[in-house]
Amino acid sequence: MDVQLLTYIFVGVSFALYIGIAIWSRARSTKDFYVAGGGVSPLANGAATAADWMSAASFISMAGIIAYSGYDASVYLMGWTGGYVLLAMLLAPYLRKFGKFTVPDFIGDRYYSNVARTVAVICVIFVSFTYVAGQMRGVGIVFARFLEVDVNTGVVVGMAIVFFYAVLGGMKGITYTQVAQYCVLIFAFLVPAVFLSIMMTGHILPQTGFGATMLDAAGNDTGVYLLQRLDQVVQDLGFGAYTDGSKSTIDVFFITAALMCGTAGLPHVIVRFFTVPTVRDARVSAGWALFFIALLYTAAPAIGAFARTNLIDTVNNAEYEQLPEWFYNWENSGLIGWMDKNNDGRVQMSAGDPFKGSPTFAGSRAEASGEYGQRVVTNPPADNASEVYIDRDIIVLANPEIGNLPAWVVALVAAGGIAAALSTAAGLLLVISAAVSHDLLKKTMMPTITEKQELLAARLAAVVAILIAGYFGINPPGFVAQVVAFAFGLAAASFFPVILMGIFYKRMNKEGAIAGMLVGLIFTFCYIVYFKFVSPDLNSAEHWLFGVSPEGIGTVGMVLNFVVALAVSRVTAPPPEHIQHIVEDIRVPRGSGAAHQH
Amino acid sequence: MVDVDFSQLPFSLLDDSAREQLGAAMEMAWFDGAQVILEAGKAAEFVHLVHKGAVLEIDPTLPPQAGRLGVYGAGALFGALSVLNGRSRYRFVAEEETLCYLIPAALFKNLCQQHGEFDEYFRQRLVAKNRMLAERREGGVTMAGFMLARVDQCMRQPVLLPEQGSIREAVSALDAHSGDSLMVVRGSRVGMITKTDLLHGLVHDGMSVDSPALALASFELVAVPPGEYLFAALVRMTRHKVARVVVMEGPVPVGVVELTDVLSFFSSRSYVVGLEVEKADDLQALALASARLPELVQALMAQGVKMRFAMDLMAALNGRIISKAFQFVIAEERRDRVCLMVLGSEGRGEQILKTDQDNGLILGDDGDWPERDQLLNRFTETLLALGYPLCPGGIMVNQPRWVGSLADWRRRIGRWAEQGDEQAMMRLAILLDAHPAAGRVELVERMREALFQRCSGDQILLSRFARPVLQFSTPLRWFGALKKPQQGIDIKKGGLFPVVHGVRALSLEQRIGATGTFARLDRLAAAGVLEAGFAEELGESMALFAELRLRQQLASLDANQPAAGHNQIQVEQLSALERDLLRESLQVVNEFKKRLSRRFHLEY
Repeated sequence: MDVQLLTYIFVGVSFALYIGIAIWSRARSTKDFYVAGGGVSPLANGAATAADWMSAASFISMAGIIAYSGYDASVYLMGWTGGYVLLAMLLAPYLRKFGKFTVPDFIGDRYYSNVARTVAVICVIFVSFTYVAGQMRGVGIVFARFLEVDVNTGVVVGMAIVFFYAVLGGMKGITYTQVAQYCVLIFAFLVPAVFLSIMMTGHILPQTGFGATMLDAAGNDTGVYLLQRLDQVVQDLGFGAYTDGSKSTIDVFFITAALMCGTAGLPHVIVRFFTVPTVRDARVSAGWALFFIALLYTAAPAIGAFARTNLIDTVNNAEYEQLPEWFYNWENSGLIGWMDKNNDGRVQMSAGDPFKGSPTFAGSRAEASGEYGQRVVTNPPADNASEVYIDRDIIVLANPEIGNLPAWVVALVAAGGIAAALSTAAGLLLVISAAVSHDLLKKTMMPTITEKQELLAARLAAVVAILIAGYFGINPPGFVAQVVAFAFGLAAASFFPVILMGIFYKRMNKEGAIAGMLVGLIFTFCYIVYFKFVSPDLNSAEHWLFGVSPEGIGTVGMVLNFVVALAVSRVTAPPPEHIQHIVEDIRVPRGSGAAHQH
Repeated sequence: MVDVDFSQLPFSLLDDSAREQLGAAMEMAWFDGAQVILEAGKAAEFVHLVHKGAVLEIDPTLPPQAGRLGVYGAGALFGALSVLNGRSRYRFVAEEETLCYLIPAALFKNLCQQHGEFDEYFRQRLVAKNRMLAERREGGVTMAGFMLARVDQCMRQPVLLPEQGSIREAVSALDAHSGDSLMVVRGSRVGMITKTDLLHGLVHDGMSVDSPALALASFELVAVPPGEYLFAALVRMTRHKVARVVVMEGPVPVGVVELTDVLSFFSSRSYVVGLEVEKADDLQALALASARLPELVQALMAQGVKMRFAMDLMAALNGRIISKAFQFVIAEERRDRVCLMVLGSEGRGEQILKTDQDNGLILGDDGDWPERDQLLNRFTETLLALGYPLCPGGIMVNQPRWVGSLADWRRRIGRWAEQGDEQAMMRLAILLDAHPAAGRVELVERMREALFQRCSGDQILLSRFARPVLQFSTPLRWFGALKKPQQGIDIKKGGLFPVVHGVRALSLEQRIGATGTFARLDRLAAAGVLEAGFAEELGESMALFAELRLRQQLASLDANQPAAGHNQIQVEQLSALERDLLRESLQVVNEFKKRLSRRFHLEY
């Protein structure tokens, strides 16, 4: 059976599985009204949380970034996992005790201020939008490759599917669907990794294979470590060593901190801590979720290294006409572009981009093909020897094909990518629509709208979110990456300190919170806009403040936020008595023993 | 040839060839609004099957209101009995533009001759109809008529006594108006003096006939507005244990409604149950009265009484029975220091037939009560003897978990809220429905206040509390048609529960102290949480579900099966109109679920 047919089957079966679980769990009318202990186990909730957490960015893009950036990409691994721990340990249990479902609600009530609430809502919407945009791009790439269409068409197909899944189908809210999605995505991620690890290093675990010596074609140990060889290969081609970082230590630190604090406020994951009955269950399920997330995050560097090695081995200096099938397929999707600068019919890889941006083609392969049958790239060539553009986002998807794995593995990876994108996108769309309709409209701007109008606004918000995300999915040239930095930096600089002090510092008042948020927000905003949009040519280490890149500046903004908030709250009136009372209350265990009489 | 659904009764009693014959012979006819389709006394040429519209059956010998015998909606047959009798006894008039299928009389008679079951079906309807009409004639005012009567149709003019009037004048005034009570106005307040009061004054207090009667007047009156349903007045009398209510229009007394007047409105022996409950002065008499409640329900339902009123009446009667039982078991001085609360559906006043006893006790003080456990056990046994089965979940005053001081209850509420699992949520839900049945009523309100204080602001708790509304799927297909499973639709899971529980969750959030679902809906609409129109739709849906379920339960009572737990509705046995209503009501439920899941964040 060919890859395409298998892919249809795998994607179809996985969808049937999700829908089947949804129907089954909705229709179990034999179950009685209340069944003691019939809730979701922390293990299942942990898996569901992991599915929410691991987006298409984690599944599809992260290993690709690692494959290309090597050591520099470790900031994403550390920042995102660290953010999760921060969220699970530091924020969620207290937010839960405060009794508010969303971060804007918490901030609005804790700081008795609609201005504070609105700033928080805007941050939530902004972060969520960025995230959804990443999902759309991921889904689009999967569909583009396996439906053999252009990536833009793929994005549109993905938009439709996410819309039906998240908005019309009501598929969220069913923990076991999420568990199934986690199983599909983790299986899809690990199977090719294990295969490649065994083939290349003889280790079953990709995590250990990553640090092991390589085998040759006959299966004998060559004594050369995988990373040694990779370093050597990329250096031969003129790149920097794979295991060396190009970022300064302080920059790495700041970027990691910004990603951590920015992710800690991710609203769609926070709510999962509220769906289990007790704080204890929430903590146990957070532990499981961390384990499930770690399975993927620890395997990602190995996949990146395997993929880079195989890619160079297969493609570099190979005759275009002799390349394996996958190369042409991805070229059809517009995610690979080859420009034969030296007219030798061979594909040369080397440091530097072959041309600026992503490739634009003269037409489809049938309409405009070059001397060797390649699609004609119309970008002006860059002045270097590099001839081939390979989109980073295809690394995980193409990995099984590059490594010559069986067709069913290729199909499985497609199903996994879709699972990862769907679960996260659905959660985020819910958050966006709730934030717009409830937190923004009902609670602040238009308190008189009826419930029906609120419902309509929620639907509209979801539609608009999908459309905007789809637009970003179709027009991503570097843009998403910049907006990501933007979003996380702003989140870290604006609401993270406010949440933290809202929980742990009862003297913090609304004046301090609003001043802190505004200072953090404006500083970070201006810094990023200046370097990313106003003067991109100045965007290098010697022009940066303290050598901190725009990706990491959110941390500086965060520190400013803390300082300003503390200073302002010191010189203004303390918050009302009952607020201080609540803040004391959420850190004290409440319940069985103490009689609770106000 | 017309297209008729022959899978419905009575056509399902025919064989295929007969149905084919019928289909071939049927024609359609169009009637304008108010057009007479079949005149009384005329021979009927057709049996009519209503396709669209509505047809009134009228007895032209009676005044217009009393003469309306029935309405036939889509899917209903009329004229069959007229065909079998040879001519029509009543007049059939199109109430609106109506489209009917016509079955020729000759063919219909033929079919009846050839198909025993088909024939039997109509014979039985004839018998049932005659019985209903006979009851109607004997009863004077039917129960349905009674239920719709307003207070001003039954009230007497008030007999007014001047402020300085003497006892003698009072007695003469009563004689002159053959009344039982008179009113006296003092300043802005209205007082009432009854015959009994006068006797008490003369005999016990030794007052002279010339002393002013004012001293005997009672100023704590139970009042109703003139537009109130007579029925509601009766409910108030039962609740407040009085034999008359004053009709007030603003501050002015405009009439008096006496219990005896109400009873004379209405001669069905079923109501006597209510009186028997009031009169019972020992357990045995109470048990006898209690055993007859289902009869009353039967009668109410047979007369098409509005569900909401029937529920109110039954709740009031059940409340009186439970309160009397409490009186018999617990000594008076103790009674005033505690509060017995009925919980769950009993607390909401929404059980029509008796179900399990769900109750709890709030102790007003920490005083010593050595024989407590023994007495509460006896009370539980007493209710069992009165026909209230034990609660399998142990939600009864003989369980220490459901007895305690206000501080105990506060602790329990805190603990359950913290626990957060489904069982704890169920307990909070049951407690939220608490309604005082006997003793110090305000204790329940204080307990509920504690419940609000802990729960109403906690969105995460509210979300967990509301979650069960999504537990059962609504029995509708993808495009909104009714599901028709073999075992029937479970109307409790598919309809009643989501409405009741959703409204309950909203009430907890909004700190609404009312316990009945209808009353809660009114309050939610007033608070702007639900649009008035939607709240009304929900209430109507709820009434429909309750009615369908009750019918099912009464049927199983008739068949000597336990009534509880019969929640399965066979869609095939409903009329076309009822099916439409059910479908629309379930769609309302679906809409409600959607709103709830947004409001309480149940999508996650």
